[in-house]
Amino acid sequence: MKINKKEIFALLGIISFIIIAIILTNIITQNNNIVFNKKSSNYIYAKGRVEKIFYDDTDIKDKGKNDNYLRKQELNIKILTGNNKGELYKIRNTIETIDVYHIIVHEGDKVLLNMTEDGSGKLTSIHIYERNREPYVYFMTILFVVSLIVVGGKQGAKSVITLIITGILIIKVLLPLILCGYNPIILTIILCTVIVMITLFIIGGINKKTLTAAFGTLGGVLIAGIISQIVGYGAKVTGLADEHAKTLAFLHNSIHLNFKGILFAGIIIGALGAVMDVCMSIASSMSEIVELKPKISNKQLIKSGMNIGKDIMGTMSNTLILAYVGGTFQLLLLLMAENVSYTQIVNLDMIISQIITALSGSIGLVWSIPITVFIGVLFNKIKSYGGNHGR
Amino acid sequence: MEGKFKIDKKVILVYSILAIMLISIFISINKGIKNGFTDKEGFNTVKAKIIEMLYDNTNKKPERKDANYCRYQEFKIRIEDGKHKNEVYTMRNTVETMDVYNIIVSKGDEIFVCVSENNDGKIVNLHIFDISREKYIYIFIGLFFILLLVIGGYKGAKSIITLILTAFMVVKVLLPLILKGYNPITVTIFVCIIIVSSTLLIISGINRKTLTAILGTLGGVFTAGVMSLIVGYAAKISGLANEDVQMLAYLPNRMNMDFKGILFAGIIIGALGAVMDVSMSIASAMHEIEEVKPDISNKALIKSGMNIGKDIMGSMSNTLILAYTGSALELMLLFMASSTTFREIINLDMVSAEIIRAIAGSIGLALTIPLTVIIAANIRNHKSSK
Repeated sequence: MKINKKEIFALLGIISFIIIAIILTNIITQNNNIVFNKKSSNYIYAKGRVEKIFYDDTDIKDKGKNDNYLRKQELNIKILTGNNKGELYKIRNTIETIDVYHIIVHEGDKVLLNMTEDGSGKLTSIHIYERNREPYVYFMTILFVVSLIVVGGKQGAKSVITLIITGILIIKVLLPLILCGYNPIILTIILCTVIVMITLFIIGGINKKTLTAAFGTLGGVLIAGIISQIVGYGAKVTGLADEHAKTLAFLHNSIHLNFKGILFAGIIIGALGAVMDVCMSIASSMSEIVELKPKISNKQLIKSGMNIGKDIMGTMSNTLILAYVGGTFQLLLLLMAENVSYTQIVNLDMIISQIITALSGSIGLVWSIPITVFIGVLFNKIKSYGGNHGR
Repeated sequence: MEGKFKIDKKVILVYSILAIMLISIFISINKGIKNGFTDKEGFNTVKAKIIEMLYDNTNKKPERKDANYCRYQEFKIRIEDGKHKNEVYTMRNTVETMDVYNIIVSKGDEIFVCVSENNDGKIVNLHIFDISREKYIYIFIGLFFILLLVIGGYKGAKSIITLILTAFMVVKVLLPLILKGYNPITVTIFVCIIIVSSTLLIISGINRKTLTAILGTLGGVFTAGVMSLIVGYAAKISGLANEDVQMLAYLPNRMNMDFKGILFAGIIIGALGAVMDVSMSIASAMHEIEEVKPDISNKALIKSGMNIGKDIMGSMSNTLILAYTGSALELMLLFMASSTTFREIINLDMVSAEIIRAIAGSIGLALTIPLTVIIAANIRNHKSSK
């Protein structure tokens, strides 16, 4: 019962900590609203449904010599949300077939509309902005949560909680503070420490095992970060090769952001999950061994821990690499199709950044094994010393 | 039973030999593809070293806001490879400070220059392509391999072999075949089977444990794939939202590629490593339990397997999600800085595709656990009934 109380206190502590962090972030970002130019446009967005299509020439492949590559659909649309809910409008959807990405709608499709209104609240223009895809994203998320709970039971529910906390901390604390111009490296390290502590405490309870895993994770992640910084500096990686980073730099007042630091933050966060996993496995097995054989010598414990670590490493070393290969799959195809030579590819900032991300994460992963084993042994020593003292 | 086991070994051996044969077949296919590519004429890239800076005003800040934003560097370079090796040229590097990505060099830097030649083979034009970075990548890869060897010993060496094999299968077999127009889904499934079987065979040898892990991994990965295909179809994900794919689609003769299939291939490959890890851990632990207590009932074995699986899941469920969050960090910052509303973001093809990628992989990961447990119990039944 006492342990339960402790856990409840810890949970309350975690929740209040997160709330305080979010409130603090909000205060800081409000004082610093240079970056957040709140809603500069007068666009309003609403969901709509395609009721009837009057005219549609999108199925004509080629109009002959004078084809201007323009096709159009004329349709009736019913607005489903917002101030103009229930109103019916006739709009035109122009499709440039020369563009590879275009939206062709059918009757009954739900779309997101991009509208403008005049002073009296009347709509002056309506455009199709995107398809309405959010139900599928929600469906997928719910399916994931259900899978976790069905397969994992109570452990699964704990995973869901840790995922939600991680998501909240990244979106509500880390990203806004980076945009305010704070040092992304320091921010990420602090935030990672918090995420690691919270996640491992929730999953493994508050004990020596979790503490070992937490320190091991931080060690591994920090090594990943430091190595990526050194190699990134040597290879003169700018952090600006990514399209999104480039667009971000063009935004008003964003040019002063530390883009190398942002790349670093991405590397750390990307490696975090995998490193946490490895450290928890090792710490858990080592505490099990100590439990079974409390008089085990330090040397033996190190050996056992390293053996377990080596087994894990075999399948774990490719986890991050494959995850990033999967993510850059389209880029690889593009470079191959363009017949870009190997030397050109391997020297491109964009590719280098990806390789550094994948490899420094993996190196951190490998280092986290001896670090965790070492910390596990250290804690075991401290505990047995303390125990003797107590008696 | 002894005899049965030997035959099992043989079957798997034959299987791996088959895999090697298939690989060599694909190498020959690759050669055909390479010839099919168009070659860029009169325009190639060579390595060069900057030996002397002649003029440089890039460190001066523009005096007035409306001042000319173009600054330039003039320097001497010595070409270090190709047929113009050791020739020295003077070239100019114009830096547009308006641009966010620009290359500023200093003396001693190694760079890549695009050269164009006239008909006599003389260089008529020089242009900076990028800074030479490959050295650092090789050091980095070397460091990683040494680390695997130092910490993992013999097992580390095995990991290196599997990593090289995986890279080879992706770069030399999967990508060329997709570009050649084969169905990306079929090709990916085929390549995955080879990667998974060879990786797990190398890491843990020819035995029942490995077979369990292989089947469990393939089951988990294909669950992820099927899930992403169904949801992707329903959400009308075009597979064309990614910048790189759009550029790919603009290349001649690439318009009719199966871009949804390519997205699917990326999802499968991305989930592969994590799923393999989980499946191997469970198969290995269940095997260990059986060794310790050979007369354990199937029900008890399944229960133990699920218990282990639940423990693994706790820390594993966020691995893929965090990996993808890390690489989407810039995109997330961009959306936040341009104050786009949540509803605009979540409906974008690009964002939905990313979310589906991360979650489909994670669902596959979660379902790998019961799949592997059931397969392990079934294979055991099969063996004990013989």
